[in-house]
Amino acid sequence: MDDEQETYKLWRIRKTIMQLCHDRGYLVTQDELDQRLEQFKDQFGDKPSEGKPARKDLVVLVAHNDDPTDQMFVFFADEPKIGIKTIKMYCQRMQEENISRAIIVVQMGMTPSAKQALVDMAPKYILEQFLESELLINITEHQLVPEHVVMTPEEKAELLARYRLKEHQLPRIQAGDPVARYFGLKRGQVVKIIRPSETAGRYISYRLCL
Amino acid sequence: MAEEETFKNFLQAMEEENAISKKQTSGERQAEQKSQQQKEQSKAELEAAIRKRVDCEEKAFRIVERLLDNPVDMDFFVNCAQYIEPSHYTDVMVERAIIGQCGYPVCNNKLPKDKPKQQYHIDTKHNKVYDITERKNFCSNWCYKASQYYKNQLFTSPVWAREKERPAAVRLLQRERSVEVNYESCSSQGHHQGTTTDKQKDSTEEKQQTTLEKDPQQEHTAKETDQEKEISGEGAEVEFAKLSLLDTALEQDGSVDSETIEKMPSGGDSAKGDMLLNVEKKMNESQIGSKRHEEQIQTQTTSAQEDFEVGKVPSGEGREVELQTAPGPVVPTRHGASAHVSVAQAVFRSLMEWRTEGTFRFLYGDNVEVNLDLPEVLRFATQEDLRAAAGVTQQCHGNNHHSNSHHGDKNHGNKGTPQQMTDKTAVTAEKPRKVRFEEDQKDFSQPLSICIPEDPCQNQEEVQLGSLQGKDPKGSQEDHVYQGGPDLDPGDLTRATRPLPDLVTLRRDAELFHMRVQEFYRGGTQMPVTQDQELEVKEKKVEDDDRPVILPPVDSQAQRALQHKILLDRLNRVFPSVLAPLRLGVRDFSTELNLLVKTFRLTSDNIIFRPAELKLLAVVLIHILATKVPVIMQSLYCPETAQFLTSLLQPWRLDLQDLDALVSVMRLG
Repeated sequence: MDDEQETYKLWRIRKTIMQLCHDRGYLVTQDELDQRLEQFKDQFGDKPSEGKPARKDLVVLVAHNDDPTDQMFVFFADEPKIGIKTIKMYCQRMQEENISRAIIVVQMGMTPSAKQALVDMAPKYILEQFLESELLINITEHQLVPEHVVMTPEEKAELLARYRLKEHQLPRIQAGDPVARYFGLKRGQVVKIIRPSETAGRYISYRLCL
Repeated sequence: MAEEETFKNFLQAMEEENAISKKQTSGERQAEQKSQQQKEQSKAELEAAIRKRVDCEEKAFRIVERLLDNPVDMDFFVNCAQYIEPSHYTDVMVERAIIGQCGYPVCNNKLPKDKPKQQYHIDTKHNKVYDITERKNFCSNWCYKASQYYKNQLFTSPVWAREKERPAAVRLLQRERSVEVNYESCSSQGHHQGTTTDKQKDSTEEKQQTTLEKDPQQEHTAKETDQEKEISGEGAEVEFAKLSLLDTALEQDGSVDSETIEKMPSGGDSAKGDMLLNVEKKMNESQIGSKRHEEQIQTQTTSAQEDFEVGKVPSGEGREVELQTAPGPVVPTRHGASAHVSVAQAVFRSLMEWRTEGTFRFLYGDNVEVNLDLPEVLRFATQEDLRAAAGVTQQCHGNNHHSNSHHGDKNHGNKGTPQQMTDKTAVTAEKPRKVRFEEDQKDFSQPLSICIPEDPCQNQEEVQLGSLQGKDPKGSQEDHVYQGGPDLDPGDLTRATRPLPDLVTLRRDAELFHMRVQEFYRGGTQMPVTQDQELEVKEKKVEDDDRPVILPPVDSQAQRALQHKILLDRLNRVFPSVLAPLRLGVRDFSTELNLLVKTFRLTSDNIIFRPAELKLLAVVLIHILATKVPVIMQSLYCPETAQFLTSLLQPWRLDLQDLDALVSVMRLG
């Protein structure tokens, strides 16, 4: 692939990642959200084939709005397919910086054992993986994707109390759902889905993540 | 982990059930307590079972992790086999490749830096495409092979269900002469990366390569057929008694090809902890290799046979003899300095191969009686050439008869190729091309179509050519060359020796075919009824005793046009140096040259010349063209020209008579 295309792709991916971080409630400056292709080239270079930028240069570290100690890494893998070793390397880095969350953006995929390694580290280090192709566009901006809002534990408790519900009485959403992955939903979290309705104007539903 | 979660869910459900049951009346309580106990018991059992499963999976994962780090101990690697599934092992290979190590765990080599990027390897020689995704994970073919060998022995049953099974006796491939094998595989990796060489000596290697490229299943089947006695790796226990038998059997086999024998230890029963190191001769590779080799030799001989036929070497009556006698050394007949004569020889041979009837018709008009017999001057002909030339005449006779049987005489068994009848009408026109088709296929391993004309404007010419060939009793000389195809049967040989048919019948047949050809190009297929009937009968005959129809999909003309272009390009490069002293320009005769070259029967190997040969060839061609182009004739008769030519021929120790001899190849009579 030529440099132009590659740079464009990297720019799109990084932009989506920034929006993702923003939507999850991490602190991202407006400049970074609005970054244009030219600015991206100025900042990182425009020759991915020569390692300018190499994918590892794109790494992002963001802190949460509410709790600045809650930080998240975004790693971009240089290898097309990543294995256990790469995961281990990322984990080490997270350990050093004392960060418990990370997103890994992979080009082609992961080996099965690498995925298992992710699961193994789950309670202590939460690693999510996205394919580059998944991040070329921001799915939440799509016309057919209604607005999702992740509810805090307090809001969830209020909701259950308000309607006298038990958790299992809520509709569900799978953890592997693309939007659930976008927001990094964990089991037990509730998402509020607001969709437009012809009759009611807005129709709100709640879904519990499995 | 998913299983843990399901397990938790299960526990939760059980608890809820318990809670409900507690609310029930006390009368039923006693019975319930019993059932509850049972339930708890089964629950505990289930929990234990699931925990064990999880542990097994965990262990497999640990092993995978362990196998990533060099160095891996052989014994450990062998022991691992019972704790992992093939999918785990695949993972190991890929993971190791990702971190730049050879995918075979016991190999400490790094992967080569210049890994091929493509997914497939196209073997131009054998016309096959191989998926090399897996092969790319290894440093050498041997490692790939050994790895597949190991993988095929792994159980496919889930790891947690293996308790009751007896552990596998896994063996590793072991190399005897590691250095040499390594080198060989490295060099064959060169092919792998796309640098295909056409040299014969490399082809053995390549064959081996292709064998290895094939998926492990094939290897496996080959192994099983070759060594039926061998204990199959899949789940079979080692039967020690058999092993000793096997050893002797394999040793006998081993004598077939001692070079490639590899030794291999049979795996021990690792549960008992005793490693029985029983060295047996490993024949997989060697047998496949030697088989391949045999095959190759066969193909070489057959291709040589084809070469002979195409090059008109064998005479009609003694082909077997021809094949046995190796072609004699190329002895220059006139001059001692063979190097110089070889220049002329090369040109002579090429001209002999090139000339067709079309050439003569082009040079001397359409109505000449063409005689492709030996030219009188044979000063450059080697024994081979003489024989070849003799073959030409013989075959001419044989073929006339054949064409007769093909067209008219229904009593004769017809063994024409299926294509001949499928593209019925175009057949006659395409005769010279078909030969080329055969040759092309051989040379380029490309499937080519036979009946797509080069360009529209050439059609007419081709048709005429075809019809003329049909009319001429001595035409269609190469007819039977492709009749038999690569595997020529004796029937074809006998056909070549049949007596010449009546000229009148031939003419009639030729006219009929000419008509059909014209009909074909006009787009219609209507013909007089009688002829149709005749045709039908013939078609049936052909279909009856013929092989299935195989129509190659690609245009053969591309090759032909390419060869023309190559030859003309080369000639044009040397023309200036030759033409300047003759006061000629390429423009003076370029059209004629073009047409002349078009009549030649070019193949991929008779258009390659050294510079000196090319120069001589240019001179000869100019002389040949003199009959068509008066300007050349004029300039050739100048006294300066003779001087120039003498000096030109001097370095090759040739004189004007030699030149004349060469030119006479294309001369009538």
